[in-house]
Amino acid sequence: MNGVADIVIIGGGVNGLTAAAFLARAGKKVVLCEASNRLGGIPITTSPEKISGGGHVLYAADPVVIAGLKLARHGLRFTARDMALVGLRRDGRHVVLTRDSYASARSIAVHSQRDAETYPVFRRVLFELARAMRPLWWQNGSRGALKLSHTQKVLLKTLERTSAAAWLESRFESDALKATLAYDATDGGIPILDAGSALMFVWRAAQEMCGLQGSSAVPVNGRQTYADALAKAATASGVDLRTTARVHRLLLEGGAAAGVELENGDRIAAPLVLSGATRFETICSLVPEAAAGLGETARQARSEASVGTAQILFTLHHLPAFGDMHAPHGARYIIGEHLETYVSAHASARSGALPAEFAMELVFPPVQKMEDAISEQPVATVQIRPFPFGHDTGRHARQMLSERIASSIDCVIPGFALQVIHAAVTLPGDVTHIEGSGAPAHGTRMLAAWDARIQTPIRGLMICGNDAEPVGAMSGRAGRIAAQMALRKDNGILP
Amino acid sequence: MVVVYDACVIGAGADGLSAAIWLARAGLTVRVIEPGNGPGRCLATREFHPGFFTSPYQDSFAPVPPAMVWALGFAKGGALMIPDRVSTALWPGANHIIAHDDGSAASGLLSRMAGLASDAAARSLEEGASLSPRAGWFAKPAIAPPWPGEALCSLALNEMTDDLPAHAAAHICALALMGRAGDPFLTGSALHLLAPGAGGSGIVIGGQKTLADILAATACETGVQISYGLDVTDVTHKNDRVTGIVLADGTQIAARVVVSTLDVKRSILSLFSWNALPKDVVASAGAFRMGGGTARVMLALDAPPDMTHLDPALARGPIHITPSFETQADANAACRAGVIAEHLPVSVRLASAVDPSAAPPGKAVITASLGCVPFHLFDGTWTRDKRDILRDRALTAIENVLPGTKDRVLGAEVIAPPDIEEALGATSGDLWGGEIAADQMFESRPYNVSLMTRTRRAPRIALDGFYLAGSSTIAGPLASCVSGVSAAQAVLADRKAGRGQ
Amino acid sequence: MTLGVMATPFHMRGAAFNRGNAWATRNGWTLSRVYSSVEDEALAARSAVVLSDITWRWRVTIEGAQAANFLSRLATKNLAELSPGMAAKALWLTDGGAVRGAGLFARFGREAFALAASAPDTDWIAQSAALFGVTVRDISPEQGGLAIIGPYAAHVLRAAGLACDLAPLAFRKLFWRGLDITLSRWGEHEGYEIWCAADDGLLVWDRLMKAGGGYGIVPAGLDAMDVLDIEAGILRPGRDYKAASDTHACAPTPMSLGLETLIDAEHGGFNGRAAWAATRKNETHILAGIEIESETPAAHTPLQCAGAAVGHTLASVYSPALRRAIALARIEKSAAAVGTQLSLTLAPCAQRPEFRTVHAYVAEMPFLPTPQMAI
Repeated sequence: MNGVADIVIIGGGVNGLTAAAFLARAGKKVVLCEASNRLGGIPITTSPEKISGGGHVLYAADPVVIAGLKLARHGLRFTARDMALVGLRRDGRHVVLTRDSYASARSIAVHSQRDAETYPVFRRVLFELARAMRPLWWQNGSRGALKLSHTQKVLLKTLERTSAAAWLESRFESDALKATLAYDATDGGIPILDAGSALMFVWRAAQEMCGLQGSSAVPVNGRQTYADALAKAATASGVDLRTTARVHRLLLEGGAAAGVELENGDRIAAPLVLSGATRFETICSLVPEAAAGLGETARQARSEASVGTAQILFTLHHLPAFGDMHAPHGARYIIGEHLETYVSAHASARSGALPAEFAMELVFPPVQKMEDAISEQPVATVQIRPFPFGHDTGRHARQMLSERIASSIDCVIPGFALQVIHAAVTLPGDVTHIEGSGAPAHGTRMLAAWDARIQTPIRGLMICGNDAEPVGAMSGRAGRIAAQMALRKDNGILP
Repeated sequence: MVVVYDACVIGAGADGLSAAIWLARAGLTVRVIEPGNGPGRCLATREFHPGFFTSPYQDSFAPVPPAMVWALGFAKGGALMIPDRVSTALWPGANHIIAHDDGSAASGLLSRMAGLASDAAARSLEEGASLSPRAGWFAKPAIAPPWPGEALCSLALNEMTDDLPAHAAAHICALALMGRAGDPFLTGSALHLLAPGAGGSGIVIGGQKTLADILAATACETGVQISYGLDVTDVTHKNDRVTGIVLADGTQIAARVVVSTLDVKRSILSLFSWNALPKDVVASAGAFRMGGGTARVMLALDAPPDMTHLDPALARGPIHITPSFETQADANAACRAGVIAEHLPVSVRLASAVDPSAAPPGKAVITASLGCVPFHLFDGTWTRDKRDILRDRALTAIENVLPGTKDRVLGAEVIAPPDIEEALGATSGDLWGGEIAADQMFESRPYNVSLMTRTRRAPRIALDGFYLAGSSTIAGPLASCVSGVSAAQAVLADRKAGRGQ
Repeated sequence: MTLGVMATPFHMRGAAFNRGNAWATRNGWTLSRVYSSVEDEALAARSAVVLSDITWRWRVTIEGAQAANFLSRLATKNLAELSPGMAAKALWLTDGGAVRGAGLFARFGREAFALAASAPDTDWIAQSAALFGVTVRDISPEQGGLAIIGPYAAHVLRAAGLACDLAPLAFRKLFWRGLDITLSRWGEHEGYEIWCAADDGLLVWDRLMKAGGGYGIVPAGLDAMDVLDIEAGILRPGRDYKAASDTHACAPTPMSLGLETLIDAEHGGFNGRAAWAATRKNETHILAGIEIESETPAAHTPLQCAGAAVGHTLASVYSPALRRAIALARIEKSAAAVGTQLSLTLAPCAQRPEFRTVHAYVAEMPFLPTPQMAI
């Protein structure tokens, strides 16, 4: 069945849905093609229980998307917002970092008085810069147009060159604080020794400034709720959502995008195509005959993601009790002893091996609301990164991995392993090709304008997926800004 | 009567002697204090096995700007410096050669990088002499015109080389990181291409000691006093002005200006008592990261290794043994964890092919530079056994591509990172004065002019008359002698401006 | 690989004829620059016949099921329509529409092509080919190549026992008295090329020299070939321009090099087409030929028209056929009409130790008509 539309969107991930909804609300005829049979781009493990292993935490929710598409009306509710960052230590002296930096300082003081004094300053400096960075990250601005003071310009240039590890090392002395903060710097697959990875701290600070759910939040029923709400919003605004419609290739006319051809042979003509797939996938597989330019295509073909994220959903008998933590729901628990843990984990992950010691984040989503758990059992979600691509995806390997992880957690939460009833493992390779993890974060990429990440050499083809974000995230921000660009009068593609 | 020198230079290496010559030429009375027993520091050559000589720390020198070759007396003394025209990478059953002018993309890349390094060194010389007010130690990188090569800060070695064939890319990686610890996949690792080891370095006919001897002779001619075997323990100062230095035996030497060629950590943290200096200077020096990772194995052979399948001219350049990106990255991760990696990056030079006098007739000397060797081992100190592990790993690697070499070994000496620290005073055994990373190059390296800090209001001179030269300065890893001359020019500019009298 | 001399299969014979011991390196090969005299050799190519070693030209084979598709995408002509046994001259451009290279694409079979060019670009072409599953192999070291140029070229081949009824740009594989060779008519100059296995080089040289004895055959060195090239208005990368190497580079453009004739405007999908089409109207300079009223060549010299600077010369030689110096030049479009009077300043030389301003004018290109072969 052939068709005609104003815009075709490839991939029904969070960003694709967001772009579709915004464009449809502007009165355009939008067709969205999703390869799998469900929307949201969040992977489902192959386990018989069909538990969503995709994690529960939203890291960079975009308040403009939530408010602009009225997602609350479409069923989005949060059970935990503004989660504290807790570094779990083997010696039981956990570090609790909350929005209140003086309370955090008290918790840090157990490890180092000097760090406790430095921490509020560290945060203040980052927040000041993050505030100034908003036009670049939240709107379609450019670096040149940022209003930065001289000190901030100097700081930005320094951070652009500094690795997260060096930045932490030069400010703090206690491993507990450094290793806890370092987890957020590995977001997007950037190694903490990479020059420019210190910018990740500014990025995280900027998230925290986006309202209470900006930094990290758990929607009721997990991340899928977010995608469902977006799908409802998209349907309500008149988007033609097609599932099990895998796009085979892009149609070209005179070097410009002219629509897509589906795998079943259907063709949908449209002057504008937004791809929610990674840039690599889009340029190298969906675009026929290296039409994006031989040099550009060859360059993309060489840039593949080297590390990814694995997730495990543990179903538990009881919530473990540990330390003096009474409300484990509202926090993200980081397990990672030293900065070196991240360094060596990244090195092993890149060479395809499992690290000797994992760095991970543990979340206990509120149990009573979890519809997709087998029963009313409490659950724990673990996010492990960096994690190698190409790890054995067999059942046995998954079991081994979950046992190893459970026993690593056991070191900091004694008794955890005994509580485990079942584990569902999601490996980097399980992620559908449409919402793949994409290119790793990079200082240059984070400071580039949205144009550079969204536009492609082919007229009428835009990237709106994770790769268009400064740092890959399920925020919908890339979709929103891509839609904004598509609607701009001066690009002359849409009538 | 107490003699007050106009300037006192700590360290008689290439940089220290150049600084001394430059100052003495301008009519200053200069004294050089060197803890070692002869000039040269890392250029020194010694006998490591009866009849076999080589330089224990490095085989090649960073380029000297042509303008200085005459001024420092190299030309007059007859030093023949030959740029490395060729570099080889060997794998079992394969090899890759980069010749200086073979027109390949790899050699084009190297010569572009060498050009950038010399441009950057020239600019540091210019800025050192002009003494702009923002020039201060650890001056925060200001918004200045970009340095030549600054774009490399946001590139990784693998990105720089990803349009080259696999062998050429691995070869460039080995050349860039030769003898250093570094991960070629990390952003900023492309900066290693600017430091010697890559494109611009070269060898000296007669061994590197020739350079040191010529510099020392030129210095004596110009009236510089050089004292060997003396350790400097303190720099004395009064009212924010340097007054002289104190030696290990308690002797005080009065001087109006002190030029230190020690690395920045040693210069700041061990020559001064910490509370005498502004807090941020001490903190910055403390946070400055040292790289290193260098170990050396010197081998005395009873015959040159069998390289009949290769062009004889290749023996004059470095030979990289089985380089690969993955080996380098894994070895670097191991190094950070304090482990000696199973497969270390090894580059060798047939020292006796360049300088036949290094070995008795018919015999040969090989020096191997090992990269990614940890300074601190996770399981204790550097014992003899650990050094033997290094020797064996180097020999196994060499044997793999040049079979038969192992059986020809008459004697060997291993130099581990702590040995370099002990012999040269280089913190963590880092010959390059600090880790080569995006946040530690160009303006982020300590400036080589007078010790100033910048407060919000105005530049405030914390300690007048103390200057830094040597490997930790901007030009340190990029070129030889430049940082010394640069510091000397700063001293002279300051005198002219009425300071330092 | 060796660091010493990279000798062509004809090196021994070349060395025997090389009286002045004048050598040059091109693409890594060591070749004779001049055998006896540049003028004599260049004139012989117009009046008799010359033999020239063209082993230095870079040659790759391009093979795979998608080879035709790939080359149509790469090259500025639709090579899918090329019939086997024929060749076409075309450019390949960067994504930004700049010239990466110019060469000759020959079709051996349905899925097999060869590319010959003056300067190598193996890495880029191999990487692009990999996107189409096509393999690229450098065959330059395996084959030697000799060009037979001049009005009597066909006679020489016939005397050597070779059938030479080839159309321009065609080629044929032949079995020639025990040797496998490829005979082609790919050159810019009237004549033929013989490609043979490296081992057979000396035998081929000897047979041709013997057959050509009656026609006054002489070997021609690189300098004489440069004269012929410039007389024919052919640019060479490295000498006259720097080929683009960056993916998104947008200079040098095909128009500025006078190479637009190698672009088939009807061919839709070649790489860099959009950028080329978008920028060509902004081009201010074009390539022109200049005849100088002097015998002293003036390479890379500024040109003036009525007192205003309008461009500069590129390569320049003394043309023995025209008895004056000629040059290729990059000049402003406004001053590029044939016959426009220009002036340039010659640097002092031993015979004339002063700066001289001489006249020059824009000539029609090519400077000399290609001599017709006597059949």
